[in-house]
Amino acid sequence: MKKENSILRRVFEHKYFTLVLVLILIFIVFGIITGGIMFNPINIRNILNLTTITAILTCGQACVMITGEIDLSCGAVGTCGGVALGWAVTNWGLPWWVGILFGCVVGLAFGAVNALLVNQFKMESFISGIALYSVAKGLGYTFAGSIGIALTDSVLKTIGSAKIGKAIPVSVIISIAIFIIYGIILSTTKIGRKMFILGGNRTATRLVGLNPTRISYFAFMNCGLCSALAGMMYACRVFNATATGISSEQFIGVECCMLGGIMFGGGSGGMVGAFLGMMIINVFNNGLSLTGVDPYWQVACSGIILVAAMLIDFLNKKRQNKLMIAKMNAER
Amino acid sequence: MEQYLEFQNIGKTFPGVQALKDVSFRMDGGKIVALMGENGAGKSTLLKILSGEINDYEGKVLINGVEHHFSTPKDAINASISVIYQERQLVSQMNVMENIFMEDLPGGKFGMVNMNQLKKRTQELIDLFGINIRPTDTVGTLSVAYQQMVEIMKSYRRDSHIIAFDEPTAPLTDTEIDILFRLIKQLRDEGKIVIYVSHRMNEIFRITDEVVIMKDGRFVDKVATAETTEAELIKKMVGRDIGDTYAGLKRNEHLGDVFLELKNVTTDYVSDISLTLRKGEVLGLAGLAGAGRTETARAIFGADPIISGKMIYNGQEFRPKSPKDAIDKGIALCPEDRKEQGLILNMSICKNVSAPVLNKVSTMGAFVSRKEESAVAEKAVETYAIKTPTIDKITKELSGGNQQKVILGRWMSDKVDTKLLILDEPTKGIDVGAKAEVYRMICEFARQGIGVILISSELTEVINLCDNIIVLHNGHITGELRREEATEENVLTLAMKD
Repeated sequence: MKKENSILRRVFEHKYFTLVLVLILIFIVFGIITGGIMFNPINIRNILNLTTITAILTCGQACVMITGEIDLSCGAVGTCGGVALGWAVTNWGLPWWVGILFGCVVGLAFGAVNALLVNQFKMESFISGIALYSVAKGLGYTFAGSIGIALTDSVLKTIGSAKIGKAIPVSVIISIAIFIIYGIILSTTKIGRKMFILGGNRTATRLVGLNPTRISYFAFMNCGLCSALAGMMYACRVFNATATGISSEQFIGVECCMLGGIMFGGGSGGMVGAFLGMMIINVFNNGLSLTGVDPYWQVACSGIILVAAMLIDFLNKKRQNKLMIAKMNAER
Repeated sequence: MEQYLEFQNIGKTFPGVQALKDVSFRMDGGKIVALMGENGAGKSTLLKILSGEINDYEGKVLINGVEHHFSTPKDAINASISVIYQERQLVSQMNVMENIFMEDLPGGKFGMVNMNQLKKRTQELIDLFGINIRPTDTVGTLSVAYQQMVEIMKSYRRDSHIIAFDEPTAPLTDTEIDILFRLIKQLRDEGKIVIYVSHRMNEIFRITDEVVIMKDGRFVDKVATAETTEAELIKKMVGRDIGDTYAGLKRNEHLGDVFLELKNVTTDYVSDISLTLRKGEVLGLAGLAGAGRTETARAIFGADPIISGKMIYNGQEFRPKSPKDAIDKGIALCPEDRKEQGLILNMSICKNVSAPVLNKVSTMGAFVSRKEESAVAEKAVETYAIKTPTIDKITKELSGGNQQKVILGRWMSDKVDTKLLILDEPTKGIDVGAKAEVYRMICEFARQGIGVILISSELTEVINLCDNIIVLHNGHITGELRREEATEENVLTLAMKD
């Protein structure tokens, strides 16, 4: 009896308990409202299919947020990456893989500039991100023009729409794989640990002999790279490198991370939380679509769910803090 | 009407520390009363009680015979008390008049501020004190001294009868001090109660009428300034019996060769620092807060760049460009502020201990080996008797003493080859038991041949643990004392030498 109690308790006190509960609740509620369509395997595949771009953006943003900064340029930088790919392949006639490399270089360059502004010129990443967002957006418009650059390369087209065994889209596998890879990076590698240390205490980072600037460059350039990959993925999916691309997605990564417990200020959270956060947003949006809610209302609703989730998390933290203080007093 | 302020049996306990104990004395209006004592004597705690920042204490505060208990700083202000701290409480983007009348702006029509009135009243104050500033000057553009004047005018405007200054001259130049003293005397001549906290002996004799001496949270004596001497004051500030915390310590008696030498090292914060350190030696850096002790340590550790001068380490000239450079050569620093600079509070003991040795506990060059990392952390927990159920406990949840031991464990694990250990205020805010353990460890490190630099504001620590003591003041070395010359009087005399 007692043992069961303690297992239950551990489940309750687990940091992802609230997130999993919310995810399951949303899933069930919409399942009932839609009369079961929500649970249909095809629908589940659709949910996952939509996540690829979000997943890549979330992983990039997660690293930056863990170091205590934020990258608000990611959407527009992604668009630029897509345009760079289109420009290289369609306008210059280069092979598809060179185009992808070129897109990656553009993303890395934006990340490096962002890191430069934040680390060397001590700018708030919030500001530098907004500035670079505008720069990247403008460049996207300039080079893509109003109709965008059509992607005709067959390999690129396949990347956007390939399926394994007729059922599982390649993009779903990419989403899952990227979460696993970043999960491993953050929890087991040195650079992952260093990012947590930097976000936890920048002064201490330097005083234990680590190089805060170098770690920060890694996080920002990684985010630039992820953004570019996401932008190229989008361009491949619609067969066109458009001027708007994924520019409107600059907040989605931040939302997923924050829902998943990667807080502003850095040093906390992990990929499991970010994944759950992303799934909550996607399942919720999918549910709204299925019930036929007006798309504009959907946008408003996703803001509301973010606030609601943060509120639950806030209350949960407050409770845990109380428990911690009580425990310390008891020890004394 | 003669004004007076009286403290009756004031006591205050912080977790683990008795900051004030049974303090009773009286101060009269029309006199400047100095409050003196070593760091930790209880002066600031007393000021905080007076300013309403601390509201749970024992005993009574009486003003003109009436008991007052201030729950908030606002209560104290309403009872016409002003405490002027070293860190000025001004809004630097606003101008002089807005700062002076901050919480009591003269109103005009439609809830707007009556600017003419504001300007006129401020100008009256400025004229009264004879200061060369305009009401519309932005406070941030004024010199530190004038900012302080603004603060004084603010308390004057509030019609404060009791005005306390906490080390007001620290950032001022000589001419600025003259202006400040003229203002303080003006306040005194109007019959106000002026409390003056300072470490500077010459100022005490120049301006104050009476001196109240405190030590270890207790009231020692109140003397008329004219009837005392510097030596007598220092004796009263120090005269305490040293507990037997130091009695059983096995100190290292065999010093090795000199392995660190600073020759006229200058950084942005300290100048002309020269010192030597032998293997197995414990070298103390003493001085008042802000004397340049921490900054000297930071220069050696590569945290502040050395502008000129030489550092010779293990026989070679070495100028660390970053803490990493220094760490690679076996120099370690346990910083002054454990929570802000030392620990990553949200991380476990294990991850805190392994932070500087990530490269040495990794596999395949990229992954952190949980097994090796745990081994290092387990050893640290065992060696330094860190009280915790597991190495995965978050360091935020540990007591101060255990947090300090985690930092010691970080630098003294067998993965780091520390040859020079710099300890900056290692016993600050930790309890007596933990202090004794830290002392024991310091002696143990010295016996292993490690050179230790100990920075501490507790004079007894420096005197009882160090083989040599270097005393600093205002970023300069004012003297060096060998173990047998080290007494609290000697150290304090050098620390206050101008």
